[in-house]
Amino acid sequence: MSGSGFNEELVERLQSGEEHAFVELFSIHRQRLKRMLEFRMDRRLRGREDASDILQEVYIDAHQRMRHYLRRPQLSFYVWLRQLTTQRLIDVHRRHLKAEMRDIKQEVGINRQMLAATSASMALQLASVLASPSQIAMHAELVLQIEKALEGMDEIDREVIALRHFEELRNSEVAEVLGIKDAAASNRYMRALTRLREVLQEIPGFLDES
Amino acid sequence: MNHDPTELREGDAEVRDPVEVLGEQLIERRRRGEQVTTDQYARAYPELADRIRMQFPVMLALEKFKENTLSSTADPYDIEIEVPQELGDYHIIREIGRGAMGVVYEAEQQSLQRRVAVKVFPRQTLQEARKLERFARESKMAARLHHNNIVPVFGVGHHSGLHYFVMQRIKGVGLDEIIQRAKTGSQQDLSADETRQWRCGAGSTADSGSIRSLRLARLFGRREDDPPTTAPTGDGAVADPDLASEMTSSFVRAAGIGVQVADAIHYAHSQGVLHRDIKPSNLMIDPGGTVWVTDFGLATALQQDQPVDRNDIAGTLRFMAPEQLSGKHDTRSDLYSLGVTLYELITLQPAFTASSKAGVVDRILHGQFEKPRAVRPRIPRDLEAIVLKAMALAPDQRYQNGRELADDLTRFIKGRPVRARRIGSVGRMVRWARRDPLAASLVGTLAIVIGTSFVLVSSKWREAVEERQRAESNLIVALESMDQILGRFTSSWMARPTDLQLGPEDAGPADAGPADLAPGELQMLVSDHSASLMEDAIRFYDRFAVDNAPSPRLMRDTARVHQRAGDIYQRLGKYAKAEHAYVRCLAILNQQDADDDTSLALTKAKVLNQLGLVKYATSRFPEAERVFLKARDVLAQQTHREEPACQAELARTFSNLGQSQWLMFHHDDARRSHRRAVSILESLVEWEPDNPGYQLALARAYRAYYPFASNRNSNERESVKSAGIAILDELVIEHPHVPDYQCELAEILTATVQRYRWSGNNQAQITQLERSIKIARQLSEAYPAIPRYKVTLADALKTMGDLVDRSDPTAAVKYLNEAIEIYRSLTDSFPDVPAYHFLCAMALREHSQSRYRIEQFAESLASAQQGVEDLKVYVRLRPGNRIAWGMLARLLDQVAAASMSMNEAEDAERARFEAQQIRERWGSNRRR
Repeated sequence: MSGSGFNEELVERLQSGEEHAFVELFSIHRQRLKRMLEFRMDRRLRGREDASDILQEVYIDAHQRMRHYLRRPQLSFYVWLRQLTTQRLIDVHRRHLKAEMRDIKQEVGINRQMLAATSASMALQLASVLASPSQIAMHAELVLQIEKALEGMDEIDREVIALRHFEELRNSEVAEVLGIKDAAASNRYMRALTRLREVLQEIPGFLDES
Repeated sequence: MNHDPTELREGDAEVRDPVEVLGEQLIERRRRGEQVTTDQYARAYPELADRIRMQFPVMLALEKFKENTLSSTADPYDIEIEVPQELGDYHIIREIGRGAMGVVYEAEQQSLQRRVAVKVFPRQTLQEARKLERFARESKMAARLHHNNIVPVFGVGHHSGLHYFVMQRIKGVGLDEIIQRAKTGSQQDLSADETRQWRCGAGSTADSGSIRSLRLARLFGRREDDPPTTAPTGDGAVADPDLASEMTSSFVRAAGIGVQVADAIHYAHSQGVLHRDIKPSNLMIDPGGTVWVTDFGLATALQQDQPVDRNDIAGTLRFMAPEQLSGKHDTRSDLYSLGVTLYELITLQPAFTASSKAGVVDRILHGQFEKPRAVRPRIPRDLEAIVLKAMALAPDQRYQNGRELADDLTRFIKGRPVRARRIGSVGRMVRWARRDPLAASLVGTLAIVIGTSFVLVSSKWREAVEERQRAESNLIVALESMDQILGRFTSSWMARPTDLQLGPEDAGPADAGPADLAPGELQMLVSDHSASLMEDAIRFYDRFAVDNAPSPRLMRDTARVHQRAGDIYQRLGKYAKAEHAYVRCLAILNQQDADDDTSLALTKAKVLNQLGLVKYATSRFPEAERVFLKARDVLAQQTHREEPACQAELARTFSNLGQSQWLMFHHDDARRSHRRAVSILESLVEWEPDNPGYQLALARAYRAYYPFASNRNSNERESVKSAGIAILDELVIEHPHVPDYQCELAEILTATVQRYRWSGNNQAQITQLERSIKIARQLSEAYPAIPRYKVTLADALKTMGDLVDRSDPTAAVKYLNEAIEIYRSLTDSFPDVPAYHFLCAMALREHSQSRYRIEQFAESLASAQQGVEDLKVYVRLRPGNRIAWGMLARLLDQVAAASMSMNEAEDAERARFEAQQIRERWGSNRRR
């Protein structure tokens, strides 16, 4: 649902002051944002925090800052929303994990990095396609393999994969989020695919197009 | 949306990768639901087709995962249920707990005016009709259970769309909570444990919680929560007897909990109800100390039809039996979960921990956890043994029913020897050992059992020979025991339970399976020491046989011990001794009439095959072929030759036959033999898909057949390869402790690498070999005494060297060096085994060529010369082997080439001449 033309038109309507365009626009992106939250949220917070609640806050944030954004849009609308969401998520993490701060610091600091896609979370996602009962045993082994492949990757490459496939961002959006050039994002993406291919092709039927 | 990739090439030097641009388009169209394929793009952009075909499938695969994974990952405890004040007849009073499956309320049943517990399930849990039906059925079953330790179920009901389950209200506390409290107590205690500090009261645990928690902890008997009662004595090192007894009694109480739960489980199983979710939070303890098992049958009632998402099984992952992870569950899985629960209860630690779920799964599947006594040394050995047995990886090795477990725990409580420490079929030996208190105290680990047993066997033997009256029966007992010990040896390497023939007295199910022995324990078994003890024992038989006509039974038992001895020697690479043992075994077997005795014929064929393999390993191929043919005839003459066991042995025979024929240049014969083996085994595996012995044999047959599989029709090769690897992958996953499966896997990975350097995708080959090297390296490190694993490693290294030679000569040399080093150590340790010399020479040749190519001529020459030396040793030992002579000629060519490059024309000429002579004599320029 990320057809850009459609969104641009909406953004225009928004600029011309149509209030309900905002609601429409937000709801278009809501699903993607929610997915992003679910993917990035710390495991320990799942169940304690609901993605929908966070999005509610994001909605209010976005509405308040809308004018400011429209005056001089530096980011595409989705990337801007995503940034607000990230900020909210960081706040939530802070709030919850403050008590456990000492332990957490050793794992990851509370900052942007904390939200980075970890090899483990991605590997689990990737491998769970095989999680039919008969394949579950194979699954653990597989997760470890994929995890290893992901770990071997450049951190930004890994992030590119996460953004493009789990958050459904387009190349230009990926570049925006990561603050790199389009060409760089593109090349990183291809490099990461090549790495993943090495692992995935070992798994029979995995790369079959169905 | 219509990006033209060529357009992007112009202008800017830094452009987006055109394939990525197209990929983005593909994915977006797919997300919109269009049916576009990789193929369409590849055809539309022929100049990018190769890369499109490489990269697009990965993109699509990534998309596919996402659909599968991003289902909600909500925490099971975060259940929102809006429950009205009245649920039918039940008046809700308050929430008393929540679990993965629902929320439990205390309620009053108004009609009967009694307090009950009502478990209410979230609406979505029971949406489907099929599930609802199952729920009703299972609850009905559960309601029929009447046992002192099972929470009585009164019934089920539904009210305004909510389904609930009504149980007796138990005034008790979950075992999980008790463990949690005890843990808090013990952590404080740990720092001060047995130190004066603690005795002085510095680490006082006076207020670790409410009175309730204190009472609870007492209930479970953990003295850590008790305020110190002993006055400072200034003597911290001496254990306080009260303290010790208190500790002991806390373990006894833990065992008592186990007995009650095992009893309850046993009863429920007898009523056809599995629990499927035994864990501390499903066990309640009331103030009287009675344990109540709750939620019987609920897991079944509420299970997902298909646990697509790992999170479905996540809640209680760490208590799940390994087989449960692959969707199997039987009575023994419940007992396993109880084992894990007891583990946590006595160690106050989860058995399986890892940073990720995948890690936990991995550990469960491999049975990786710390032994209880490693966590808390004070845990009694017997209790540890019980827990370990309950938690055995293979269900066959666990307690087979709740009664057995309850009985063993009771034995522990009463201070009697427990069965868990009778280690499988060596039970009889242990009973002997028990008569001797010293020995009994030694019988702690399997290794010691074996040591003791050998000594005892020997003394039995001596006794037997000395007291002639009871001699034969004593000898039979001794031989049988010996055989059982050694049977464990064979079966642990191979995990072929069929090989293990049990004595009548030990045929109980608890003893049936072979153990997964740890490397160290296997090492103990497969040592010269045990082999020589065995020979000692056999000597008693010889002396006996001189004066007495041994009965057929005695003869057969003796033959079997010979056979086992042969197996050990063969594994150790002591081929001469192995051969001797097999020959003696056959001599005894031949004295018996095998015509209508299938098991005798089968044994004979097995031993013949082993003998043939020894000959094969020592490069006596024609002799090996004769022996294999004999094995074939023995099997073919059998009246029951259609029996699966005979067929399997026949297939092994053909497989072996094919290998020696190949090395004798009888290519067509070899191909035919391998085909026979494969086809027999394929039907056996189809017939009996769960027999790992057949699977292993089939994988091995595939590997042997691989070089013969049609190359033109690439499908055959590929399918032989992937089928073989798949079988072994599965075996390795299912039996992670069986070294031979791993070795076989490494071997097939190496053997099926495409060695042609021009074949396109080298990276895949390299990955495959890396895996093989990794496995083989682990094996040869874990079992340094076993030459086969070293050969496997060296072979993989050599193949790798060969493969990367063109792309990375430096790395190639490194691989080859290591391979050569391994082979060299083998030729040093086993100078009379020709094959090691041959293999070493092959690696040296590779090394020499590699160096030659990067123009390091001196090194190249040195390697080639060394290779020539090795081959000369070989042909001296086995002068009839044409392949070896051919290889020698080619190595001499290599020497000549290297010499020429170093301007040593004379040396070159000499080598060339020698090669020429060999070729004339062996009349063949055939290149293989």
